Amino acid sequence: MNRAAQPYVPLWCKSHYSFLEGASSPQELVETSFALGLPAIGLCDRNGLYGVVKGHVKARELGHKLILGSEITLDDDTFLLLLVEQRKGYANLCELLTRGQQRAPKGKCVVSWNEVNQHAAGLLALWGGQASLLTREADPGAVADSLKEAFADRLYAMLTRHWEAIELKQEAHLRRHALHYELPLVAGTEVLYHTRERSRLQDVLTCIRHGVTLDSAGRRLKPNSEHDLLSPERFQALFADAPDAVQRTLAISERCRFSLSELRYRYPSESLPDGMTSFQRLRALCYEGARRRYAGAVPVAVRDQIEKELRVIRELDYDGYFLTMRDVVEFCLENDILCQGRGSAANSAVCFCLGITAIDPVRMNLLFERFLSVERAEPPDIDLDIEHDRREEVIQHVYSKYGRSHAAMVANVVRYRSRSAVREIGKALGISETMLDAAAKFLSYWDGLDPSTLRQANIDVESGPWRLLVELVPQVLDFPRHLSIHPGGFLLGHEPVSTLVPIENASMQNRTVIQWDKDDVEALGLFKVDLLGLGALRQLNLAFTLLDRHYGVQMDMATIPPDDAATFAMIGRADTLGVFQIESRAQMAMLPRLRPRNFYDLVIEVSIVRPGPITGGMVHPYLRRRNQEERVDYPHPCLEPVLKKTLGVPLFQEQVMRLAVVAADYTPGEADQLRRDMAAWRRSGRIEKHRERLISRMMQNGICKEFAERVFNQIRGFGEYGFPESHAASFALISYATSWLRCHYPVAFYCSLLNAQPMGFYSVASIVQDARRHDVKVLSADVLRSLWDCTLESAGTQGGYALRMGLRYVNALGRRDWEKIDSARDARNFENVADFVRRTGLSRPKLLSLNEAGAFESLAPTRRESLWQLLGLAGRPQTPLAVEAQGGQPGFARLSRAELIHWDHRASHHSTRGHPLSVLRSELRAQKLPDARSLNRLPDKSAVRYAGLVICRQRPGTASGITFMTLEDETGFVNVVVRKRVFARFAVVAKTASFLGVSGKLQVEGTVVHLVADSLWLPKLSSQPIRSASRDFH
Amino acid sequence: MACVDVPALPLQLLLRKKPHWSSDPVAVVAEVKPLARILWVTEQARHHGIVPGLRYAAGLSLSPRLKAGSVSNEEIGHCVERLTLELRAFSPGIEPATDPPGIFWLDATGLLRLHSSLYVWAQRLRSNLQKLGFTSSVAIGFSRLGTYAASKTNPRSITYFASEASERHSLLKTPLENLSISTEILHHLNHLGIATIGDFLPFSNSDLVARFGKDLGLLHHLAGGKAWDPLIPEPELEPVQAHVNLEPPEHDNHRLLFSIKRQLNPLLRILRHRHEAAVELALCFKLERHSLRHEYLRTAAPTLDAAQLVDLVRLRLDRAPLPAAVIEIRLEVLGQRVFPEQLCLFQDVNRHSFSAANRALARIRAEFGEQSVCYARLTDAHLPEARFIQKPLVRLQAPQQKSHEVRTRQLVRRFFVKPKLLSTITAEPVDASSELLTGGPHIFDGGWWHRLITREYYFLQDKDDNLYWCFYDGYRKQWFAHGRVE
Repeated sequence: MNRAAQPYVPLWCKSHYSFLEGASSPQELVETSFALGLPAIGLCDRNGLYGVVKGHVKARELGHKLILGSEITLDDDTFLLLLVEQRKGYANLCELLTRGQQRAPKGKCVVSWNEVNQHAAGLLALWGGQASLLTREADPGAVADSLKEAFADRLYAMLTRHWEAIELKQEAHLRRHALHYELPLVAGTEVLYHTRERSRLQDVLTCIRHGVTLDSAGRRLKPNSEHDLLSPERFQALFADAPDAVQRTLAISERCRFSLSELRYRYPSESLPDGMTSFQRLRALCYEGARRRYAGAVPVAVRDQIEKELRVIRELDYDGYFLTMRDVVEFCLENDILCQGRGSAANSAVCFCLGITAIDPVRMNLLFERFLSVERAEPPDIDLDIEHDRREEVIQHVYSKYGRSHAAMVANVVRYRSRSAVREIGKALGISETMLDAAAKFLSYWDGLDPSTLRQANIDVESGPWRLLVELVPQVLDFPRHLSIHPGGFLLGHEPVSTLVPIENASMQNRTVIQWDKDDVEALGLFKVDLLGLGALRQLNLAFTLLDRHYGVQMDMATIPPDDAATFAMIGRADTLGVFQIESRAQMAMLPRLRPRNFYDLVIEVSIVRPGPITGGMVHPYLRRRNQEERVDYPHPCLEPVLKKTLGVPLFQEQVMRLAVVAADYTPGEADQLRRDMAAWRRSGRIEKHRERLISRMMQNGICKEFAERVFNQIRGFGEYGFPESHAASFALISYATSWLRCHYPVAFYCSLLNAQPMGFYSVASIVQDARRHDVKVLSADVLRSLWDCTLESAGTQGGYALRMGLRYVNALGRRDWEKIDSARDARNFENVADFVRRTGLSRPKLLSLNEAGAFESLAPTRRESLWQLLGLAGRPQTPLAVEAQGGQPGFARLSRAELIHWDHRASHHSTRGHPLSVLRSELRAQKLPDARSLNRLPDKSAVRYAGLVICRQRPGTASGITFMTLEDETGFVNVVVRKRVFARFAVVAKTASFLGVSGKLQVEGTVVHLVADSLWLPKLSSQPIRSASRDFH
Repeated sequence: MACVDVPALPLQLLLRKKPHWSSDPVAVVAEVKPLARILWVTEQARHHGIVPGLRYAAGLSLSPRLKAGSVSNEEIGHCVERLTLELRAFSPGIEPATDPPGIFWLDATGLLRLHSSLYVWAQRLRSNLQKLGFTSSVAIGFSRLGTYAASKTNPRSITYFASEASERHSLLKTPLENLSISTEILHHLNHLGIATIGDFLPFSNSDLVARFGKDLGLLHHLAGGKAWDPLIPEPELEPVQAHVNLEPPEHDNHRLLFSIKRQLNPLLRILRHRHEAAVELALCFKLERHSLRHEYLRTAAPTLDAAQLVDLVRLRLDRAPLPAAVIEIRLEVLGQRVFPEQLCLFQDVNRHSFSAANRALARIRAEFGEQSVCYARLTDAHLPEARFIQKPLVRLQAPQQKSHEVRTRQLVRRFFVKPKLLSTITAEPVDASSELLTGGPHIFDGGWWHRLITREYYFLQDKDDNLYWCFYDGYRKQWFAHGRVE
């Protein structure tokens, strides 16, 4: 830096949290400001404080000063810059923004001058810029007077220069008004990017914001690239004639002393009975729960643990938080909503006794410190899983109990990914939507923008706009696009939340959302309550109800018989379609290798098929040791207590933390930082800084380098996604419960699984086929017998129950239509098709859909005959009296089985009559194509050709570009492994085919069979099975 | 009766426009957007599973090589008109179908006197269409439905029915999907297992009408021979034209104008009978020892007033006199359909009306050329020369009332037509630190998505106190004067 240059403070910097306007992140702005040697930087995003936490964290890290503020849009379409001077001002700014946001449609904010004046305390106002009242010829009159009165000496006239011709005249007006109203001048530029290389991106973002192309954007674009963060020299040159105005930026910076570190947060205190303190109430509830959990006799170890935990809770003053969580759980219990705490809360005996979690941490020997510690003094993090379709009831309960001023949901920032970036930037560049659509289809979620992928879509990436697209897309990846709602995170406060952070309307009705995401909340150490939806809990609740109603068995999570041998045998066979957490292709491939025999094995199974253990190379050593093919040893004796449970191989997050403390001499504080860095999902770099420290310290302690590096790789893997033991245990409990139901009550299991959809891994068609393969009689939807949901009905002479498909699976039919059918059927049963049409009044498409799905088979001999009747009846005016369809009933040819299955799939995406390939089997056999069952019995290294329906395509980040496909036929599944080279060669078929042929070699390991593809092809048959949807690339 | 089918006419039109697409799957779409419906597809596209009714995006996902374009109704209409004209050489009685486009019914009666056989006639017809770049099929038979079904069932061929019985036999085997039945009805018939006309004849007509509407009922009647659908040929409209031979050759403009006026009156009467009014007059002068001279004149509004047209001719001839005496004049008046009340409006009485002004502008155009009447439209751009464009003024609009802004005195910049090198304006060497420069720089850099333009604007006052508006072009690294300042 030139010593002669006068320093200044850029007070008007907009980051990319000024959505689709700013072209740099808050971190980039802070870093550049620091690097330029500026004393501070003012972050003033448009109508919000979305980026302040990110900026604050970076500034704290660098030891740089961050001034907070916002550019406020007024109701006369002008704007004003407000900077926070002190805590009161921060609260006022939050309140003002909340008002403006909540009255306007989502994404907009409008406040009046009067409201600005009412919230002036603790704020500084900078008035200027092209769209400001002060730069116009007309006297701002009353507005200026009122601002002057409200802000007094905290109101400044802002002199802005960007080398634009129009600024000359505007500056003359501003100077005249400033003189008239005695406003001190302060110099500034509108900073939209940290470096001018981002100016092109800023132009493109502007186009996206206005929905125009670069060619038609006109003066919506900035005329030049002079909106970067200026060095002191350039700033001085720009304002060479106004040194006082430059000097004043420093004076303003001095005045703004507020920092986010000053935020003090209190959790809402509960209303307590009989003058009890909240802590007394917590203790009482805790012991009451403990007596219930341990049938009146609370073991000493549990009592000790509870006391220990209560001490920590009291010391940290967190009792209110626990009472709130308990209140939510109570609400769920009272309303028959199944819920269960997950995450590190399962390490707490208090949570177990309060009914928040279902895992006994004392029995499982789980570490409470992972959940709460005085040293860390961090807010506890309890995630409560709630059955997914009843979560809204719980959310509205929280709103009603704490009020909308004290409770708001945490935001989720929707960011640009490669597909959205290609679509939106391409549109701004004037590329046709069709071409962009084609290009986007070839892009993967995780790949970014690879020009070779675009070439696959026949795109010339060297041509003008595509070349620019390839240049710009990487710049915009991860940029915020807009706010949405976090799946279930709530911020609750004793003071109104709107004094901590602005609250705005969410697009979803009856929801309000704060301007920060969960990382921001965590970074500031604020309390968050996570109410998450979980389909498996819904399924369990439905299954328990069915058991009670049809089998007279009262069952809940706690009373499911533990360690059931038949259940574990089923799990060991990987017969787990529909079982929570262990139904995926990868889990199914692991199950026969691990062969879980008890609950803890299941905990390991849940957590071992994760990027952490896989990338850390922990899976195979663990399996070898478990199968006694390798000796269990420890790299150092000090690690035995840490790793004993998992045979010397670290699998859980807690073990990694303890390992760092024991083997690498990490202090608890460092270990905690390690945990945070592990949890910072996908943010590369933060884990890397531990590498040298961990490995060298472990080696100093006598641990071999190879093990040390393996541990570090696993830690890096946890950066992607890794489970703490307590979390795995919570999930394993649900896995076991669903497995047990599947093993002993399959009809109820499949019925509840179908009724809890959408959830899990498999389509309705696959679930129905799996049920049929397990001898469950599945009956098609029927207007005389089906309810909205699937039901159990007597299987007739065979005894037991059959599964009747619900009308919810008939396309085009909605719940209201079902209600019409139900009320008409309640009055009396339908006599014939005409009676049904007349009394339900359903529209023609819905009637035809019901017919196509076979739902009229009880009322008409064939679907063609009922179709003929419906075509004659539907759409006619309804009469109270029965009217027969016009004309006689001609004879129609009967539908073949293949046609029936085809009709079923077209109308309901599944068939209870058979698999689409079952009718083509003879043709497939003639081409020497085996079914899945036969293929899975062939020996290792057999060369095979196989054809099946693609139900899933996956490319895990841990698989070095290998794509896994699951193909299905009437006898089961075939797992196909497609190497990167093969996938690239057959990319179009691999990505688009629904019915796929594979040639390759079998890889057989025990009962685990994979078909390693050499080529992919489209099978040629006389007719093709109906095109089915697959779940791709999750 | 004969049916000529130019199958998938919009698709053929598209492929004529884009011959290099012929090796790829091609589709005609309603508009070139991902969610637009596919209307027509080539066989190659069908091989990839792309069928009409799909969204373009869905088609692309089936074959990334799919090429698509849209064909406007206007283009189709023009093509049908042109083909009708071509087919008139083969039969005087032609009825083009409106939906689907590309079907023509021809009256083939009596043609055996001109051609050795109707098959030969059909061959000539097909090869004529082939020369124009269209593939077609022809069916010659006894009924509209029979020939239509045969032309659709046997694409790119000629079908000749010697007897009504053979036509009927063929008709009964015709798949319903070959007839232009709506997709929804076809879907239901398919579901009922009704695939051919033969399958569908046993049903009662009233049952079919109740379920599928009158059109299918009519088809059922026609197929069953219970209804007759005769050919309704489209009358041929003669162009409204006239010509006059001048003997001796005429070189006097006044006499020429009188000659033209005499010819115009009967032409305008023809237009009046057709409920049309003149919008354009095309003149072709055959000159002594000179090549032909063509003139086109547009009227201010549709008119039947010969005096207005003659006035426009006079202005054009005054401005661009004919170089030699005229031997022959050909006139053609292009009409536009108008309603009687519209015609009344042309009888203008107010000399200061907009129509009078528009007529005046038409006269200026007639005198000085079509591009002579323009106005400046302000545009939304940063580059000074891009802030306005000259647009031809077609019709005068009433001025809009503007607010009375008090304007301060401003510098007026007169643009040069093209920026001039500053060295051609002033001999003084100029750089950014030159004392001659004032009031800058005002920086413009943009347009990077086409070609980056970087300019730094200043005012330059030379020694004679002339004030120029100049800029340094960062791309060409040169100084230019963009205008003079007043």
